[in-house]
Amino acid sequence: MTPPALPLVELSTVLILVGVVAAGYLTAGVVNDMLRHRREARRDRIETDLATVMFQSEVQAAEAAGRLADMPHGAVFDLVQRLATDLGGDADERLRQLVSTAGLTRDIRRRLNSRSWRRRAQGAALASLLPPGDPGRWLLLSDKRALVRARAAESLEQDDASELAPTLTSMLHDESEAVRFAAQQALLKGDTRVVDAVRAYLGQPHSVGTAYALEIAANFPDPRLTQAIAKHTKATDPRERAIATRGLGPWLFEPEIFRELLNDEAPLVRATAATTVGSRGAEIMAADVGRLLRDPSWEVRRAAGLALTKMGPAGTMTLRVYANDNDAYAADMAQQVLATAEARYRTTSNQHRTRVEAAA
Amino acid sequence: MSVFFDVMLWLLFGIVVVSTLSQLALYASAALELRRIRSRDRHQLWRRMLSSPLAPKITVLVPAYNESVSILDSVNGLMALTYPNLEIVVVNDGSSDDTLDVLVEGFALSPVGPVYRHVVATERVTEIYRSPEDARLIVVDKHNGGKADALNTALNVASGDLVCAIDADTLVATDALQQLVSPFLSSDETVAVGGTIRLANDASWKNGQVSELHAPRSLLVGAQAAEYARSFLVGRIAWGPLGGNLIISGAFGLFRRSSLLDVGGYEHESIGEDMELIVRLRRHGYETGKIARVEFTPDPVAYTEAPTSLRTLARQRNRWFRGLLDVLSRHRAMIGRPKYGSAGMLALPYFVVVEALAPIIEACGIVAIAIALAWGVIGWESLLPVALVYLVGIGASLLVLLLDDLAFGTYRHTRDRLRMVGHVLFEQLIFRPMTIVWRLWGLRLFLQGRTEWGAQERRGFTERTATA
Repeated sequence: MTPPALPLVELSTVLILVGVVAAGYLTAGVVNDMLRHRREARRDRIETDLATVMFQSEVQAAEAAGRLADMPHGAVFDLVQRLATDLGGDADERLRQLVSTAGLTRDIRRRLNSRSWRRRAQGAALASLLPPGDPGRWLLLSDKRALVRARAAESLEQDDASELAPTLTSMLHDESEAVRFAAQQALLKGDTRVVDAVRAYLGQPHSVGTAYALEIAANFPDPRLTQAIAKHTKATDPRERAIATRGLGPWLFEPEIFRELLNDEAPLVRATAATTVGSRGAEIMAADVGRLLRDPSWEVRRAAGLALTKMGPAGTMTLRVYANDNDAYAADMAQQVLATAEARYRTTSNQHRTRVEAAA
Repeated sequence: MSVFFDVMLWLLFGIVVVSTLSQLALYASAALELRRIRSRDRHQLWRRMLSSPLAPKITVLVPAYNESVSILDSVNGLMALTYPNLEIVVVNDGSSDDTLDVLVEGFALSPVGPVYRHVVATERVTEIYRSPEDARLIVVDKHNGGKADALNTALNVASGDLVCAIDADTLVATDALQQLVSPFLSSDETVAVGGTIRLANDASWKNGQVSELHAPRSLLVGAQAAEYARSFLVGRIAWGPLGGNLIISGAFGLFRRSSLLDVGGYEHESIGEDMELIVRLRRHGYETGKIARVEFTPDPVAYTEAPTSLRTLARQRNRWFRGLLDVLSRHRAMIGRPKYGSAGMLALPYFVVVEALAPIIEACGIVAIAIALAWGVIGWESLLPVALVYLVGIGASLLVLLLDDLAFGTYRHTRDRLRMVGHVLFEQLIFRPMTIVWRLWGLRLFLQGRTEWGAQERRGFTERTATA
């Protein structure tokens, strides 16, 4: 048996090859640096022009729009896409005009109907720049790709979200979490027109979308949702009970319901109930909330302590009593909360005194 | 006698060829996958949506053992993350130094009672501390039980649907979690997502964050930087399309908490607990018929410090090798079984041959060749093919650096790239044989049943920030 031999390859040849790869690495790095600098410079120019289009005078905006029309559409798209989801008002309208005058509308439409999901995802993010009422704006909400549906929902504007509320609520139980989350965020952007759709959804049998809809209802200042929310304070999922508790606070304050929630088996619900009662400033329930200072869960004790600071003299009195409690954790929490409240009071009164003295 | 040396030379040649060819195949796969990942991540612009407080809650699990030097920086770095729905659980795993005191003083913590759900069995928790100033931080003090035990304790205390396991000396980029969470939103089948870890030993710092990476000055750290780049490209990205991703670094990975609890959390007895967990998650998926997708997202970046002394590095490497052997031995039933899909048929056999056996055979071959050369049994010309394969290794490592540079713009100066060329040469010709020695040491300890971690040295990010 002889050692493996490769007569055609000399060591020197291999060394040269390694040298070539090393030189290639260095050269490619330099070329890459140059290309990156060019890309960055172009991006800076586009960003400047986009800012001009959105925020400067109409004459300057028109000039900038002309320059942008001559830029490669792909590069402009990338930046417009990022801006399109973050803007609103006048700037958004200017951006829409730019898209129309620079001939980008056709490109967006082409992306909406592309066979590549990546291009459709890009189109979905830009669809809000199509003219109002254009069906292309919500075409991709029913796309077969979850990511595209999510992007389409994410980029909806307030008006679209309100108008499409029934479609969006049906997306709350989509098989993909991304779509459920995006639909929820879109509905939260909507106005009072989404209320009926959310209320109807909460009246339907329980599904994976119930918690998402409850969260929307809890964040929506509308008394029409109260009854639909109240029903869910008895849900089997503690998370849903907690959201319902939070949502109920501003509209339906019945001590008996809240007493029950303060004694719920889940710490999350007890803590949320304490916070909600505190934000109502319901002195009548100070004793019930005070009892939670002895709760085994720190979250509940903290929520109870902070709630008591918002419950007027009754809350303060309760905290003082518990500051000397036999339960060390209850006493500690009460003392911490009192100390923080006193420090805040001292800071505020000092600031007030300084202002009064300065005014005098 | 000559026949014996011939066989050894053939074996060495064969194993290095197999190892190099498989690595080259993985590089090609990595190049293709990188393209796909870049395109995928470009379309996952969740930044605005994931700034909503309704984003899925993430609990960051930080096991800490004798980390008093770096723990404050690490926790402060975590508090600065921009993810809106965050909880941080630091577990002081019975440190013998003043890690707990540093935390209590640094964050004005007070004891709140050891109340939590005992879902996974762990060593006894003595106290839980909370900060009245920042409700996101939870510090758990417990009896020493090792890293896996500390992580399981954190898992019990955590309330997030997703948990991010990191090392106490890891610094996470402020927007990293937003990107890491996207694959979980996109697919319910995703159970774990890993991110890239880079070495920050010689990085430039701005506002407590790494602003620019530089090629390390030290040869030892530079060799590790070259190794890290290769490991993340080959070990993580390349295995993605092949369905064989079996590693998510313990220093930075995001998991679905319910999936971790389904498999009983981290394995206490395993020394390579991060790889073991992923293999177990995937095994559980195959056995229960549920798809357990393990993803890798290269953009979210975390930074860590590489060992700067040979002693610490040797300890780390022998521990890693023991961890690998431990995982392969625990899950040997998966190897070569079609039931376990690509993990059983591709990834695990690859780890057995290329990662576990190759260093041992390589070591035997090198020793045999040295003896044969000394005795004059073979001539220098016989080394040519072996040298060729090593040189191909150098070329391949440079290609990885190139790929890394093109994809992520890791280094921005020619000076850094020149340094990296030097580091690659050092890594292939000197560092690699050194790692073989450390692995053999690890093999010996593994056969003796030794599972201890050994002491680690920490410099802390403040010192580095100050010196950078």
